[in-house]
Amino acid sequence: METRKKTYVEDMDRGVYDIRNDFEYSYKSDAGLTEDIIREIWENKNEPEWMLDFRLKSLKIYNEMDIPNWIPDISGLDMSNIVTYVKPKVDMKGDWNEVPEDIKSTFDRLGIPEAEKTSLAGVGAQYDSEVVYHSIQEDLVKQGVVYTDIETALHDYEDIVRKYFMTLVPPTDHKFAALHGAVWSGGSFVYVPAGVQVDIPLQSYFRLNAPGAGQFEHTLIIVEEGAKAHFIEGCSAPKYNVANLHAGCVELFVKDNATLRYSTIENWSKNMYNLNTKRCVVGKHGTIEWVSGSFGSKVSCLYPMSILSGEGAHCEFTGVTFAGEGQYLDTGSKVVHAAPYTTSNVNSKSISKSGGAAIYRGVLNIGKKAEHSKATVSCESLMLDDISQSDTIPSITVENDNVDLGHEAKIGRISDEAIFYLMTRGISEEEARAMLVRGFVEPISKELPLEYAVEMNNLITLELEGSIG
Amino acid sequence: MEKRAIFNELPRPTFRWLKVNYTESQIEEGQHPAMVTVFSEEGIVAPLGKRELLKESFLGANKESLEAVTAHYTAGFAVTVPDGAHEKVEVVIDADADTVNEKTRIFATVGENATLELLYHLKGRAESGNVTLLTEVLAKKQANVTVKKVQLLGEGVQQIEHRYTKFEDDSKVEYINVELGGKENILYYDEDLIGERAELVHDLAYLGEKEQRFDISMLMSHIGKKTVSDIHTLGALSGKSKKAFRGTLDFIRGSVASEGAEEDTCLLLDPEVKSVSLPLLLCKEDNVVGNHAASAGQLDQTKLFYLMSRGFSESEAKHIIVESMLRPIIDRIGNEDIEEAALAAVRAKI
Amino acid sequence: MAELLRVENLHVAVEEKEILKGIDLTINTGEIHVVMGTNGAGKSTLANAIMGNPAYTVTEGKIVFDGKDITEDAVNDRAKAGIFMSFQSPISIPGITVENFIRTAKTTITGEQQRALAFKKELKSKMDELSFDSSYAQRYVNDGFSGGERKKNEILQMSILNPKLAMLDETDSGLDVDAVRIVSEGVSRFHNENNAVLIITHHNSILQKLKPDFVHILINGRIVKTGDASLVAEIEKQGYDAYKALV
Repeated sequence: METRKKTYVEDMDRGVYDIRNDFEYSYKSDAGLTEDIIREIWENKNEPEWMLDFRLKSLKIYNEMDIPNWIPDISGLDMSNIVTYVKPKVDMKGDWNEVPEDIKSTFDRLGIPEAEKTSLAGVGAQYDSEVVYHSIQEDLVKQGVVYTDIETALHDYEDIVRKYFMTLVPPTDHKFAALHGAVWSGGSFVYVPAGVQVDIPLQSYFRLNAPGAGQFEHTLIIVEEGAKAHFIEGCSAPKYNVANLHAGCVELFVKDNATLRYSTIENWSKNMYNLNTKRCVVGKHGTIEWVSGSFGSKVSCLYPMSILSGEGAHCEFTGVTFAGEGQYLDTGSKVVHAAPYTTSNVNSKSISKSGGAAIYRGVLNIGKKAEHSKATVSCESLMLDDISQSDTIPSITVENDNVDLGHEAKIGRISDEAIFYLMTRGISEEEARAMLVRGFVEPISKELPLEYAVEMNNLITLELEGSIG
Repeated sequence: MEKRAIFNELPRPTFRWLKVNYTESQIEEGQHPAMVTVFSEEGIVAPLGKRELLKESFLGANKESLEAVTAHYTAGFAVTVPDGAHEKVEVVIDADADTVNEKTRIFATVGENATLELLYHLKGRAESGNVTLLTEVLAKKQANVTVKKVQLLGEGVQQIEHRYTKFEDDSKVEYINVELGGKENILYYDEDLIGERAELVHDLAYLGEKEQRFDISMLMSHIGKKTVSDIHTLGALSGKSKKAFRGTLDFIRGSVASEGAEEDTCLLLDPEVKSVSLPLLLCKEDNVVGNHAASAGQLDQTKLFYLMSRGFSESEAKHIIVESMLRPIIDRIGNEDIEEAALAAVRAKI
Repeated sequence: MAELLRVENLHVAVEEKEILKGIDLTINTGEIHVVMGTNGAGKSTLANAIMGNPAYTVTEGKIVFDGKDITEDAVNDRAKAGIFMSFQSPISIPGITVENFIRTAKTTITGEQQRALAFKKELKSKMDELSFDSSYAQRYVNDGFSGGERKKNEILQMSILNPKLAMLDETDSGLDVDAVRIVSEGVSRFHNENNAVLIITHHNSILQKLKPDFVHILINGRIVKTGDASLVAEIEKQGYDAYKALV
């Protein structure tokens, strides 16, 4: 009988993420979804009239739409039990010392204030449904850069918000976009004026502490012509026994010759349904770079979309997904080439273990106008045992004859040959496996900010399990 | 006209807005059956009679079309190759009336250690209607099966093909398609690699022009240990022609040490063509090797330049490149007359 | 001179096919041994069996290294004990840099944390000795390397890990004249009275620089003749045919 040692990669040590605070709040909506709840949220948030119309219209769409037939099983999610709005017991502060101690210590443990001192140009911290802290470097403010919570932006920059809000991801896009339109709260707003280069990253951290709640933050970033920015998004939540829902929405507008890098490390707890929508439209010779790490949640549906609408626009997508026990992570990328000379590179890696399912779902559309376009897609999947699942579901459509397109995908396990080679150099089998798994994700981790890269490598700790037949 | 029937449904659907989860069309109507001639050694081919599907849950390209050809075929044959025998069978489907309505069903049982070479030749002057072909192949232990198909139907005819293959231990199956004719070609291949060490090789060449459509679905289910599948679709599109490829490599848990590869290569010759490719890779077994690749692009400009530097005009050079791409597959038909006919069709089209 | 490796009546099978059919071989410190033979004779099998490749099953006999029976030991334990094998075709490991790889190996083998700066310096100087562009330290192991660069990388690892027994499996094959010279100089620098080298080859280009103490001719799974360096010249002239009769 063939015996082969199985790789056992430990679950990510969630340590700091799982420390939860007592559930305190200044206002929370009733569970479920009704017109009254939406009116309440709107009143509580003191929003302009048009936003109420928008929310109610979205609710109507939500009620009319069905759940897509292709998504993973989300029957564990009962919308009538999700609390859509939880206002923390504090208003937004510009000084960490004014943030209540328990909330501040949460962000301390996550390393946010420390990172702010050393490597960030601006920080936003959201706790449940509202942003509790926001800051931005003075010199950026002088150059006209706006980085604030979206509620503030809705008052101070109402015209801009109204012009862009949910135009790229309309509520009609899908059922959870409609839900977002109805109950959204919190999130960040970034505006980078033409020609301004923001070289140091801005970071928003989203923390969902309330049990049985939903987080519906809206991130709106506008990078004007010739400007440049890097935005980092981190997400986590402690684990509860009830289902939580994250249905955020990210809309990015990258204008001509502008560049935006959008990095995400998502480490939601495993009771989280992460049904998130991210989309970017890129103008002439502009660039969007996505770096996406998906580690947490029970179920994820996340496919950042890049619409290359200006001539010469470029998209770079680098993603890693790590699915462990009880996780079904359906992630990928969508690229639409809608103008000539547009280019895109998609590089995705996934790991599945202990019965987890990692699905790559991709779209590459090269339209009639996108002549002289070039696109490459590479998907690699690593399976660490024989009880897990790894699927690749790409769709590629080409509608003109002047393109250069290549798509490649492969699937497999760690090769015995590679393990042997490492062991001949004295490295133990467990360490050899760990090194090979780290090596597998290295092209991704090197794109991450250093502290996240280090963390990701730490997460891949290995332990050897005895032989299984 | 409203098109409502669903064809070639993807086994695992994806985003609905893409409208790629299936193809909508309708079954074309026609009048006269084709002339179906079967050449074989005596005792190998017999009338089919009433026969259940080899796999009850076989979906086929479309439910209604599959049901029709299963129960109400216009020509039906059982091909039975005894254990250890080596046989060749040629089936010529000649749509010789203006409007065709042909449903051919072949049920091939290839015994242990036996060899079958089955050659389909579809042709005829028909300008409208439908030709449906259902082939079921049971490849027993160590059987060796080759099915070659050259399709040169008229440019107004719809072709629907359903094919199911059941592989026993150590069976080897090779499929070769040369798809040149037809208005709309809907092809569905379902391969159950059940036996250990079963092997499938499938090479499909097509050449589309004008409004032609090629809708190709392939499902390779790796069930047995050490099973191998290697499929490659290769073609060129000109005019307003369209191709959709749905290939699914499915590694079922337990298909230890299996290998699968799928590749879809499409050459785009005109600005109004459309190529859709869905190379799915589903995997529940870690000890496998799965690869898929899809590429689409224009003619290799260096090749074009090289040929033009030798005095060929641009269009001549294009002809040479397209022909040289399809030629290796055509050459494997192994019947000179049919190869000539196929080459002539290629030349006439480009 | 002390006994370093003793192989006794070694039988080895690959997928149930017997490749080595009773090998006896003793290597002392300070010695250079060469195993020559035709393709498929079992030369690489011998090296892989000594290294402990799980794809090669020892069906009979034993391997004693440094006075200890290692026949059942895991690969990495053998490496820690001081056995090194330079692979005939080293695999590439995307994602792991040369520096990180060798440093990890060195740490594991010596049990001592390698200080970053000191290690970098050592690596650089060893790479210079091998005319190995030091920018390769930051590239992924063998990823996109030419055949010659892969072999240099093997010799680089050998010189840093500093084993007691270095086995070079066809290290000279596929290399141009300059690369063979650089590699053999690397082996010369490594070799001293406290370690030993086992060279597996089927031609003699690497032997022009390295003077072997013993030459073994391996045919069909058996050592049919052992002699001194003069055997190399003999084979050069006559080929292996004369020895096949000895099987």
